[in-house]
Amino acid sequence: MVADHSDADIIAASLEDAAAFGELFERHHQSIFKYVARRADPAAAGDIAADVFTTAFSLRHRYDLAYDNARPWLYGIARNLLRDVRRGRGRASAAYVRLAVDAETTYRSPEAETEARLGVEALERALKKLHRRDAEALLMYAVEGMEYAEIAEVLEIKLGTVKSSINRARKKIGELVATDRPTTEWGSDERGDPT
Amino acid sequence: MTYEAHPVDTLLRAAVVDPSPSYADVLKARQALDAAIAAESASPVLAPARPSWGPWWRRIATAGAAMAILVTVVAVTTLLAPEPVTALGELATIAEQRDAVIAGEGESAYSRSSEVSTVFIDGADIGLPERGPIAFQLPRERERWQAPDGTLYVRLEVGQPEFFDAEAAAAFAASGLARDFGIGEVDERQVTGETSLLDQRNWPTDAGDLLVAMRSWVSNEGNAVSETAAIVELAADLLRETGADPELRSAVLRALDELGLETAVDEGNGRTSVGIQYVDTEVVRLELQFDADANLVAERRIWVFDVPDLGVSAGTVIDQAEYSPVRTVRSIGAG
Repeated sequence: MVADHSDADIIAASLEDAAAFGELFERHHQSIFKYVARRADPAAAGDIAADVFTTAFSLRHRYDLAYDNARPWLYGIARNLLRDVRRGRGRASAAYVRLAVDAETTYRSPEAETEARLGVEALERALKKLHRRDAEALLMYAVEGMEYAEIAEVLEIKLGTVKSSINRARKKIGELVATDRPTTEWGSDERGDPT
Repeated sequence: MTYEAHPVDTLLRAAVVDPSPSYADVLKARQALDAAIAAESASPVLAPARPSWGPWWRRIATAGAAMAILVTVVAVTTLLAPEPVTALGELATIAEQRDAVIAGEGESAYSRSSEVSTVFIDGADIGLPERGPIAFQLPRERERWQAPDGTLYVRLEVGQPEFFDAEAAAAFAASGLARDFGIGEVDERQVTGETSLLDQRNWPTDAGDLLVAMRSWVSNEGNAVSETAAIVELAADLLRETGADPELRSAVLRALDELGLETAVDEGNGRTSVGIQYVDTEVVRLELQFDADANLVAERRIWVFDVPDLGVSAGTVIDQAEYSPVRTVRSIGAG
């Protein structure tokens, strides 16, 4: 399968030749793994990411081939599997994403290390106070690098709602983190929006 | 196009963990997929999707589904008599039979609400740092006019706060913080675009489908420590001053009925109440009230137990609102 074939082409080909589906795995496994591993128990992330692709394979005959890009579909499957895992563990309000102070950064003084850790903790608290959809939309945009249209598809909401969710989440995080850490200055404008 | 990343985006990117799959992760995942491909190739009929007998949590889910089917079969076989009509079921029928509120040319759909919300501030903001969080209740009166093109005009008047103790009230008055809350002020604004959840999605009008859509929706919403409570709140969002179609109003009521909530009818005022208790940061009881015409006319949240830190006693209503049914008026500003 040549690289300029769309995801839809790959899925269509796999309906005749199941082995063709492997190309979709090669294209998207890494990003799906990262998405899952940021949200799940690290020990379970590999299994869940693997299950995204076996589930996608078994459901591929239901894929709408009008959509060239299968990434939203795969993220949607990943979200559903993550939700099942959380429900199975009785964790209705699990953290949206795992945060950490970057351990590979060059040496920090103990004071700077503490400051960085407090910053991450403030951000974690802020994320947990957001509406889940707003937090998810912002994380998909800022961290996963997804387009608005992709996010709309994954979250099953309108494009305008994606934009308003992201802006609302940014504003809220800015306010919450600033309140948590009064020395931080935040803008609440819409910078970062290329439209 | 180049643009400067929003500082919050930059912060998030810096703070999230950036895990890469190990060689073993990739190999294991690829082997699982190859096994699925091989299994299908051995039996090439593309059957409808079936879950693989995979991780433990899926086995539990499958076992749960099997148990649900068993329970359903038992329930169905024991249901020899028709179910009695519930209070919510009756309201759903009434809602279905009512005319839609449709504003004609030059008219507006109008509603008025009175609400009292509990607000929390940091004691340090009013010179009482030793107090930590301080709660007070803030009344608001709101009028809404929605034009046929969807444009919404809102007039909001913020009343005077009520504190749970005199010290906090005096400190707040002296702090000048009242201006930040718009206390004593009137705010009038025009809103275009999405003005309610009705604008965000085409909600099904079949109660079963609607309940599925509501469950899907609340799974994306935050702070939902109880799925059922989140669905009740979503139902209120769909019914509250939105002028939803009779079919949707009826479906929402039937969906609520399927949740098996505590329901009570007050013979005195003819209102039907549904309630649910759940644990958030405190134990909360959420209640919705419908009038005899199936309009959502009131909702309230109550803290079930004492919250000594805030000086709030058990049974305190922390949020409440009363709504007038939506009706058409001749112009914006008329009430």
